[in-house]
Amino acid sequence: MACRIPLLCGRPRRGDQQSTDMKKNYTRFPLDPPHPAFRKEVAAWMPILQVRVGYNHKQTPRMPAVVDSGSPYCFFQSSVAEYLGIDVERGIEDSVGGITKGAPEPVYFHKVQVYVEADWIINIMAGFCKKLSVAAILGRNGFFDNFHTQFDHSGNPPVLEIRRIERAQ
Amino acid sequence: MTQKDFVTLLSEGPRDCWLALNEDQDAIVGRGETMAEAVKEARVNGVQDPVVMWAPKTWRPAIY
Repeated sequence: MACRIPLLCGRPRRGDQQSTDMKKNYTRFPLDPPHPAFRKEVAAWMPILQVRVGYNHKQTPRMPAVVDSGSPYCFFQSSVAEYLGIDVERGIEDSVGGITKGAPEPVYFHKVQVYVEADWIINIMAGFCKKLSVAAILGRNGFFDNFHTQFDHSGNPPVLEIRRIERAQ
Repeated sequence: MTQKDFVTLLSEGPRDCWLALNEDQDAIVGRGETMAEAVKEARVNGVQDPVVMWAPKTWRPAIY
């Protein structure tokens, strides 16, 4: 039966002992206006996972995060940090371009916990930036080094598959 | 709810702000300039654990 909640489709496949992998359909988002080269496409499929961000025993609500292998780090809008009581500008400062429109924007890195789809917790260094066009981006450092990730565009909708990388403690 | 419904919900919803959606993600129950404002409005509207997201001025197929 098809899942009726768009950002929760594709529950984790549970093994005998614990959930180690998950398949999830991409989520469809509007496009406005449609791309001039693809005028019939009024929506775009995006690889999305639901995450919460945690800091000092406080957690955000769930939010959609774009899984983006082109991003070197994980990023969140500054408003996420403010919600958690993080003093954003006391973080490690850098600047970021490419994922923001226009000139490079300041970004401040903080250690946070990310709860991925309610099944996994990862401790990462994430960048917080005012001018992101999405709430959250899961990039190479922090996400891809914690999960085997596969993007399968052979079907419609495309499917995202992730599997936790187990490391000896 | 179908994916088309979700697309319609977002395409007709407020822009350039945080949105709070109900648990079924078929209604916008809060909005705000910050995540905290959107969550506060959702809770006033009876949704304790909303899904929050940023609605850009223009929905694009890329993140910039």
